[in-house]
Amino acid sequence: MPTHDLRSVAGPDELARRELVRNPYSPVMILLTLIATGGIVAYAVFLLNPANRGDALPYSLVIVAEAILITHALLAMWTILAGSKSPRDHAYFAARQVLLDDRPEQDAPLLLDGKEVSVAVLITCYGEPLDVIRRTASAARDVRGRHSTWILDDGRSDEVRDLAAELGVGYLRRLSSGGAKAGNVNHALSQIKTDYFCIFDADFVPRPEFLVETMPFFTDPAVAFVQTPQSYGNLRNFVSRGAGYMQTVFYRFVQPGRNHFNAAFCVGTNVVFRRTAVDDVGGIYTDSKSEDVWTSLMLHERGWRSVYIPDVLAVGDAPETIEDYTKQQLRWATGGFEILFTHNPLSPRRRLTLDQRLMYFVTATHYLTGIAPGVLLLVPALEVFFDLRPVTLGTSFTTWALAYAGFYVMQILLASFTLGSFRWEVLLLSTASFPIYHQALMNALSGKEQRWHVTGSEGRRSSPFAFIRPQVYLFVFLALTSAVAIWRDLNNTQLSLATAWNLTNTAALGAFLAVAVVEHFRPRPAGLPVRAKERPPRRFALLGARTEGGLS
Amino acid sequence: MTWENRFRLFGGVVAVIALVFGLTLVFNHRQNQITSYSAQVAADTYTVGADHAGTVVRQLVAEGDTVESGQELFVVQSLQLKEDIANGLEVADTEAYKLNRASGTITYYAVTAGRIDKLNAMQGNSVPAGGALAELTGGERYVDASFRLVPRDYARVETGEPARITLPNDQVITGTVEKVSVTSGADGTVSTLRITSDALRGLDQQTLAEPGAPVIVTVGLTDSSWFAPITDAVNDLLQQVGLR
Repeated sequence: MPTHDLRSVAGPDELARRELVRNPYSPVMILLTLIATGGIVAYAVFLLNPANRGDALPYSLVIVAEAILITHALLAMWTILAGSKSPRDHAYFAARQVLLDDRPEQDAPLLLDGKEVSVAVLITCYGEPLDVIRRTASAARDVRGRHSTWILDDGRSDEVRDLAAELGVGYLRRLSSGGAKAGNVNHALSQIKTDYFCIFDADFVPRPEFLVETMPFFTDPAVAFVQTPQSYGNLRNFVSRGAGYMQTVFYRFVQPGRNHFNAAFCVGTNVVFRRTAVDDVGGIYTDSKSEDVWTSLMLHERGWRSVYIPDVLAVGDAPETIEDYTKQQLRWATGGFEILFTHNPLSPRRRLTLDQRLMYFVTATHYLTGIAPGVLLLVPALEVFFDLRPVTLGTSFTTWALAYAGFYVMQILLASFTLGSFRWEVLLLSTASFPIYHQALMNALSGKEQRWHVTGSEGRRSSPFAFIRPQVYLFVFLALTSAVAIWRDLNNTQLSLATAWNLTNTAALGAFLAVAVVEHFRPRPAGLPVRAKERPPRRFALLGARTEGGLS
Repeated sequence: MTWENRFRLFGGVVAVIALVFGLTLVFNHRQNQITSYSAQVAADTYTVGADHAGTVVRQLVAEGDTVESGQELFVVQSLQLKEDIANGLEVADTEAYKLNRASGTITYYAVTAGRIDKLNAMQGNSVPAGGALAELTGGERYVDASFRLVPRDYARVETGEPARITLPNDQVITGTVEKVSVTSGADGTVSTLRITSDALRGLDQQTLAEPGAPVIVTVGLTDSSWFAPITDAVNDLLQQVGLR
């Protein structure tokens, strides 16, 4: 409700106007990026200066961890600055002008280059609640432009079949369940022969203009798919806000930047594919749980072009529980590491451009930045117990603080600016996530699939503590170490930086565990099925969401 | 949460507590000892000085010779001294030399066991009164060790406390704190401890116990904290089972 009595205006209201005017590449953002780059360089110089070098063990731990963080931060900022140009060119607008041939009806045929093209909208399901599927399927059916809509039900639920009949959309069920979601889509592609097909996860509700905004790109015959961001409508608790905002920088800045490297990749949902392109690489890639990135990689290796537009054309759900978040992150991270170990994009055997090699290498190593905080968390303990310091005692506190702030404070500032405000949930959640990424690295190295020891009784949700044992151990370790650190400082009559860091880290992990305790005792919401939704692939990127590790 | 998970969680937490306990023992052990940042073997040096001008008529040692306490080193002929004695001057013998009043010769002796490090006068040379005939390094070795100590630790250092000396060949010998001195300089307050050790005597004087040889000294401090009984109990246990 407006708080003034000015005459209301026809057309977009104030909020919508602001959204129209919003410039993601504001001059302040670019300035902040440049300052942050300077801060990174200054921090690197500080760390590598032999005069500041401390004891070998903690110093090498810090150097390795910070090298990963710094490299990725620099590459991310490079990607961001590379992406200021919209992928919509003259040909796009020309194609869009004639896409619907000025016909107002909802199922007007979609015309590309004067010919009608056929489009199928596929909704992949795997045991999601019925009302969630209903919401998505009816929205998919009502998307503007003539298309068929199909529910691909790997959950094999008769209720979903009845729902499809009720909504008047197609229903497909397969006998096997091989290849997970990729297998599901490939099975559908064997039955549905359309020129283009869209994929939506069961919880991602498309907006009516989805096809109108994306289809004109296909006037370029080299475009294999058009990807739109994942946006979340359920940012109502700690985990979903942390997990959701963690993706924001990626969808708003990193993916648009990757457009210019022709390396924007598919994130599994809210995407429309050209059928011939997918056929060209033998269907959706089935040998990985991250079929989306892998399929993109295969397409790029065959010379196809990908397009990403940062416009929100579908809204879904971020994970709301520690269990869902852990499984999601483990799946994504494992997929990334799999590329690194089995299909290294830097290998001369890959037929990729240098731009694409670099971007896929970033993808493949991205989750190392999630392991680095775990290494840094242990550094203060080395000083407390063994008197081993990463930085020599001769370095003054001010010098250290300035160098440190140049990197971390600037990264947090930049991230806060892009997100609109400081999101402490992201910082806390990413601090507590390193065991997940470590596990992913181990799984990718050994080629094993993760098994959880969570065969709780039917109908009861498993406790979050089944998934965060390493975090509990680390919290106990940090809390006890803090006690020893305080005792040590009392003896030495001097507060040490190690103690300050250790207390900060303990508090951060403690806050995360407090969330887990609340989740443990929260009654299970009624209506959710026992089989939690598995395997909806989303994708990464946090830029400023870094851990306060510990230099001291 | 399954019982299996509960056990895993509980077992893991117990393991972490045990780990921190072990680390705390290590930490407390270090808190109760101080380690030198610089230490070296040292020895007293003596100058064999000529009290009277004269000519070296006999040189009984060469550079590098090991000498016993009281061993003859030089015989110096002094005409001046002979004349003075003839004129009735009373001159007494000392620990370092004896006079032959008839011939006017002076025999110089080693005042301590040790080694001739430097020979300043050879047979036939003349020496002025007060000149140095030789430099003698005493055979007695000790260690001077420098520490940077916080006030609390400085207060806990006492003479007579046992010390451990790690030699350049990693051999460890024991000694005793003899003297504590402290100096303030450009690089802060430095405490210097003199450590004596009988074991130094048995070592090869040319290499390991050569003055200037770098060593590491650790000195145990008395643990007066509440944690001391726990440390003692663990030490006793380790000793009892034969691990220490």
